Amino acid sequence: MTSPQRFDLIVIGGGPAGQKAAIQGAKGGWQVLLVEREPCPGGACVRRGTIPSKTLHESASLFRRMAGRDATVFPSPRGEELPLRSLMMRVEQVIEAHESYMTDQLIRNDVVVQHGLARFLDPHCLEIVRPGGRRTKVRGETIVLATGSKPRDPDDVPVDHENILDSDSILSLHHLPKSLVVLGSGVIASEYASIFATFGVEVTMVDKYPSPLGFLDEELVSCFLDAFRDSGGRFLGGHALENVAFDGVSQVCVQLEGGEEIMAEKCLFALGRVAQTGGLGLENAGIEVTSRGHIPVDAHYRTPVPHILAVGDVIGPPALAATSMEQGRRAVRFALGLEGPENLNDIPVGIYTVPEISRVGLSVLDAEKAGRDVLVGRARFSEIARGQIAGMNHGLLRLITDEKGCQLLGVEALGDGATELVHMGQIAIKAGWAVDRFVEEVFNFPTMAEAYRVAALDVVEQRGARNPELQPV
Amino acid sequence: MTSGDLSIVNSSLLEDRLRAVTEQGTLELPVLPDVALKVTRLCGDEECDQKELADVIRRDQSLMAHLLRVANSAIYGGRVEIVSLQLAVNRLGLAKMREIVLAVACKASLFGEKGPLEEMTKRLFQHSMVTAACSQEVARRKRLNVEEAFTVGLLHDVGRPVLLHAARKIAVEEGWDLTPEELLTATNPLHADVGAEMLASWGLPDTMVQAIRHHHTPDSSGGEATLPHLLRFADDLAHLMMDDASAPESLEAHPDLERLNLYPDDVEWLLERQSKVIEQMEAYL
Repeated sequence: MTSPQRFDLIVIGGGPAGQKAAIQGAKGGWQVLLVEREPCPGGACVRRGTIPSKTLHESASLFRRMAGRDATVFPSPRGEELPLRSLMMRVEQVIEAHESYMTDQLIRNDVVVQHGLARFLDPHCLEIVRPGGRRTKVRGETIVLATGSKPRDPDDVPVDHENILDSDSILSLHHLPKSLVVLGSGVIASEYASIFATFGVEVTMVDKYPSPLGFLDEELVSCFLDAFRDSGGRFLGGHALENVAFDGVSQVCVQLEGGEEIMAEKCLFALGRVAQTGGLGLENAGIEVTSRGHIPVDAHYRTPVPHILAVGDVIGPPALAATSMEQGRRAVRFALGLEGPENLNDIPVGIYTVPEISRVGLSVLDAEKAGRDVLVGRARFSEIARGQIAGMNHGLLRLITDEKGCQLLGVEALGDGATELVHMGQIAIKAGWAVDRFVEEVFNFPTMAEAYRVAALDVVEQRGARNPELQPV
Repeated sequence: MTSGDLSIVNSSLLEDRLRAVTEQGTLELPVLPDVALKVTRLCGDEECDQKELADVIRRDQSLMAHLLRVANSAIYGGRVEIVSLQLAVNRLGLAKMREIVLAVACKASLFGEKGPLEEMTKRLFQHSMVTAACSQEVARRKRLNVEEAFTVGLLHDVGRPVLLHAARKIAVEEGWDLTPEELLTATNPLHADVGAEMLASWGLPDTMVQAIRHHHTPDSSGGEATLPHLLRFADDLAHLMMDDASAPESLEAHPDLERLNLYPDDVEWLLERQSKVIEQMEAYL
């Protein structure tokens, strides 16, 4: 019997975290194997998550802007006339382009990519099963688990991927449903609910929590809900589910505690994702998952078995693509003995709802929780020339500064382009800028950068009221 | 020459004759009943007026009777008995209406052959229904569109009864004594192309036309289309579930497993669906 092929590094899972880990390992001179369950690297991010939903989001945002124009100049189709399939075909093109770029990048770095499922036989040896069942064995000196997450498969909601869908199968629809009930009100639920509402679908979002996106403060949530309702969406907060069932014919019936019933053509179950650890044979590696099903790691992403690392969604929140990539890179850098990483606290958060929401650094909610009396400067997009030109009715930028109203600590934005807009603030925070710099700098006009100046002026004004001695001359 | 040898020679001649008929364009491609075509188009139109749909179906009494029977069968039955056409249209929804009307119309107009080929065409229809259900289950497992998978599964062999009918006509004219199985074998080389031409003439989407054309040769379909691979796999899965003469020994080394990304646990899950699939087929008999 031949001994298993040996690699310096084996990465299980080719999503954002796994890819960056593999490339970092190869750049460090290691011989690297990447095992991916799908035919192409990319993971859920490319096939079923970030890339498809953001492509759909882009179409929804464009549709919304067109719908806001003079119909005689830009006649836009009504929602029910939109062929979802053609929107999704664009998604296919984007996916293919992205997969091809990622495969090239791995090949360029001499990473060996194998299609299959990996399972631990012991802490160093893995068995790889290919579709169809052919098996091979490999040995890794260092192993990175980056198997990601998948939609939760609930016991009490019969997800059939035809009438009751999850965030994977919603992307298989060819026609826009007339109505959609979304179960949940977290990031994925709010993203799809607002995208489908923008396309003219009658959307009802239901959750047991009183408001959606529970990790945001009241002002941002209320801005999001105003925009959602303007698109025809309905949010039912504080309602627990009693029963969800397809009536066997044409409607999904969602019964809420208290007797209310919602009927809709399709239902999206978006109540959470779970770490994908099934089939990995973790018991053979000596690793136990946490009570929430995640793989436990230390500050350097090492599991209790030190040569086995874990990164990305499989270790739990924040489960964002940008964070996962950085975790993958940093985990392998540490394993290679390269310099220690800085902390990962200043990574921005992007929520691709319509309109977008994004933040970086200290948030208003975090400041409130910490009892800090920070200053918050606001700029409403409807008061910015570029915002008026683009018809942005909902949107604002908030700058969060220290108690003195000097140093910029955080930026939060809601509105079209918010996920891009926060980056200028991110750099300013890193550079230790005082908000006054935004008043002094000259930006292109008209652009959304003007929002920074308006929000900074708001801080300066509040600061004057609070500390007269700091009033600018 | 023995009668068996004669049969082989005649089978080969028959294939040539069928090819000639197809190439000359003299093969009579049946149209789906007007009503089924209208319903299919109306259901694909998101602006569809339900009353208009009911009016179209009402004009075909036989279709209406079949529709109500299938709509009330265990597999589609809701909590309320569907007693009127309007109720059926209201309650079934457009996608299900399309599915049922297409299946009922196919059975009546394409697989409704009487006489010596009756038993053979009945088996072909059963296989088509089981393939439709298998396609649906593969699509469900792989998070692909379930409705489209049903339609291509149902229609994948529509070329066969047409060719079978033509083959028998030729055999009778020539005085060749061929069994229904031998006639069926003669349809093998051409049925996918003829089926694709039929779908194209009915105005069905090109993705479906190409899936039918390449359902035995998905690698030659070009591009990245998954549907032809799904169809070939579902076709074989259906033969296996019905345990008929074309059933593969197992699916272990099936050429589409890799393309469809089906792991051993996926295949196991699909095989567990056998009773559900057979039940769905029986609802239409």
